[in-house]
Amino acid sequence: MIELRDVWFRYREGPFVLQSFTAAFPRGVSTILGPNGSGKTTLLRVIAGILKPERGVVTIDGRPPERLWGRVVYLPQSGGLYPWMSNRENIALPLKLARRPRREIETAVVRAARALGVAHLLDKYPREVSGGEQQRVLLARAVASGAEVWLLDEPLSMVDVDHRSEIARIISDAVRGTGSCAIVVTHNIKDVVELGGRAYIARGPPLSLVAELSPHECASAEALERAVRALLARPFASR
Amino acid sequence: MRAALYAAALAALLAAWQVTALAVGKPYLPPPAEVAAQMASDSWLLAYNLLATLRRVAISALIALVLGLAAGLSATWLPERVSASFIRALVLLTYPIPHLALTPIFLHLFGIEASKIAIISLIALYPIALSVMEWAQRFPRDLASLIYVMGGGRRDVVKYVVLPSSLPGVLTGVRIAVSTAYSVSFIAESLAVTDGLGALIYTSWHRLEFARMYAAIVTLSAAGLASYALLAWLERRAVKWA
Repeated sequence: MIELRDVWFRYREGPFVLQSFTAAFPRGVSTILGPNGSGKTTLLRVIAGILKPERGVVTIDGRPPERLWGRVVYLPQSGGLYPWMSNRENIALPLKLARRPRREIETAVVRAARALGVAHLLDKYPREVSGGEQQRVLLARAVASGAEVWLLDEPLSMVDVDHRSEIARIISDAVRGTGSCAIVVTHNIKDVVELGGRAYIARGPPLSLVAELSPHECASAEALERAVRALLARPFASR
Repeated sequence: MRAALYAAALAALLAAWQVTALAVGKPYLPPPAEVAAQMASDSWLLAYNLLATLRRVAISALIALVLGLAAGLSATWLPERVSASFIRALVLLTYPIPHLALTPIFLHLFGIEASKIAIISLIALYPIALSVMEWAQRFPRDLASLIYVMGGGRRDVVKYVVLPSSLPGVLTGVRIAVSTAYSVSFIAESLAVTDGLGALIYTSWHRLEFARMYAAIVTLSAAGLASYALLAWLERRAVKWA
């Protein structure tokens, strides 16, 4: 369970992006659907412990995020790959940092890369593969790490249409299989449908979750879009 | 295509040299063919002195690399901000000093041979230290944050982010440092004449053996050029991800 109580955050002296923000995310997949610039990424970075709130409490299973470092995987929307490492080294990094045995690392890397369809790209550098493939390499890192908490920022935004459903299913299966807690932020209604789980409709800044939708309500893109349009004035991407 | 362009540039330089030598018509500017003949007859002398210079340049560049890396990284990455700032201030304060002016002191302190290496190292150290300081400050902070989230520590950030992202800067610094080391080697070797191409240039000049002087200059330039090309090739291989 990820909990935020009365959290306030702003960049330098700017306006508050999180203002008295309170929410609780149970285990399983939770998708936050909201327009660009509403503060979703900031929320993920605060939960990851990368950004420190001015006020308020953030806990993951009752502990501050920093205490969970090593069991958390945060995938930024872009730029999460280390350009000087091959894709293989990029996927292996969390396991290397956990000082796992080399053979275990290699097995986990190959398995995750196969699942995400990037096994043939392991010896290439990130700049040598497309944006969508880079995103799949990042997801392979998350899968290989076996993390307990997944924080994913627009994980499907660059994945091509043919692979979206399959990759969304891999994320959902990995999270459910390990009993992890995943928060996925997106501005795309189809991502919510494909990922399953519950969804939160967000607006901002300052970020607020204006509605919670059950997995049943998130099953159809059309129904979800109607619900979202009723709640928000701004249009959402649906392709 | 690239090789052809370089060959054309070299031919243009030689042609300009030939034309100037004919126009000037003085012994202090012999034509390229005369210098080439001198190089052939002096091949052993040039090789002996070239090795002496290469040894000094290599040792000095290595010392400069180690000290420059240590200074550059500690000035940006020591956990205690005061120590880091102190080293940074030390580097910036001593950089503008005309280091060649310290040669007499170095001669007294270290003796003839070691003083040459000391002065070359000192001058070559700054391009590396400054380049590393600049690049180590510009490391991608988002990627460093991810290392912490993935369970790594400060040492992992240096290993996986700061060092590799600074590598292009370090290698640029090394290339500049080696070029500087060649230039300084001439001055260091001619101040205390024993061996080396700098010493050969200096003594040939004073004995009015101009063809030999040019032969030594051409050899020193060729060595500098070869080192530069080798380092550029190593740089391309080391940062093939860029």
